[in-house]
Amino acid sequence: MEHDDLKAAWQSLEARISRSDALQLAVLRETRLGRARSHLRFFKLGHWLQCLLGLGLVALGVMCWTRNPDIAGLLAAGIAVHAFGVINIIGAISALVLAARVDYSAPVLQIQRRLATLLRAYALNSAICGLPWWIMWLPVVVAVAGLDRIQPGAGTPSWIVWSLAISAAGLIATGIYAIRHYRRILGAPDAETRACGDGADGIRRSRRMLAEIAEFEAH
Amino acid sequence: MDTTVPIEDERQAFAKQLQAHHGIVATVAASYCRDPDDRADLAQEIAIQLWRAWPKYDPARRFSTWMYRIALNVAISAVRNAAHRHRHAVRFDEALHDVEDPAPNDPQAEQQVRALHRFIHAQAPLDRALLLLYLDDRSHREMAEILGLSETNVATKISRLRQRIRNEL
Repeated sequence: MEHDDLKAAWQSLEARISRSDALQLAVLRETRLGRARSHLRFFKLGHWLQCLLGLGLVALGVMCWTRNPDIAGLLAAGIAVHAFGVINIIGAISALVLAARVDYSAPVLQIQRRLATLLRAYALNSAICGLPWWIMWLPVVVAVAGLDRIQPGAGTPSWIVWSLAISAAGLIATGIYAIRHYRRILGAPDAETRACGDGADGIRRSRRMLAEIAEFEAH
Repeated sequence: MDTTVPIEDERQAFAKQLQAHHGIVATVAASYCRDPDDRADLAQEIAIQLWRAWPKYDPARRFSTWMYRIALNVAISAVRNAAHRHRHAVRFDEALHDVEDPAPNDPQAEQQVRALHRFIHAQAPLDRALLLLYLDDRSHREMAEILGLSETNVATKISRLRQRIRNEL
């Protein structure tokens, strides 16, 4: 197609698009604005709640390990809960800060890079702060129990050992499922499925976005 | 303090600008969504993001540049999220029906419009953004500002794009 034909075709296409009834903009319709605001509020609320959870875990952990420095199990549970609380706070704050930095009026490549980073942070936050709950509920229960006076050398109750075994089995099973799922996707015949077709993996989707941006810049 | 009047003024000023440049929203939405309902949703989403960003708009800068940035960012993100949620099963021929001229005078011109529409939708999201800006006769400088590339890079890309258009259309 020659340049003049291309321009004529574009003008014709543009005119038809503008005429289309489907694109009438009811710009400031309150319901749409309200929905957009509530979606954002939900995202923020979720992460602020995660922050509060993190603070609660830190407080619980600190109370447990400072009150029981002589009981190895309680000391370890307190420190684990404390550390997990800090990780939750860092994960939530990172997501909130990255989301606040997404300003759609900035240049396209800059924002697409930030969105990829946000997606990756969101996926990592979900995995790092969600998956450990298979095990972490136990240190939390132990830490709560550790707030009462416990006799040193009383021994570990058998329910803790059993629960730990069941939780570890659950965590391992989840890990095996994730590895198999990942291998199945990597073995898929088409590149799109390998990259992000299943839609479940934010890390791979963010990698793909960044790869697309790099390719666009390079060619 | 009563803030109703200034907000209403802001809305009117925004609505006026949007009306004046609504073609940008329409063409971006139509270039990134084949399904008419998805297109209407995307156009609304772009309008919402424009309104949210409106308080930070600097009148010293070109409105169309600012609008293009937001529209393209929203559209590219939407098309990625749609691909993530579900694969659209709209076939090209079905998707083309709504850009057909109800009474075409020139079958060759109609063929060219359809070919261009198909070409636009065959591009990757970022390439499509460049193509739209090129078709809309934006200057290299404005394209560079919108996309976040250097002017030299834009010039190189446009030259390659022209070559591809010649080869494929």
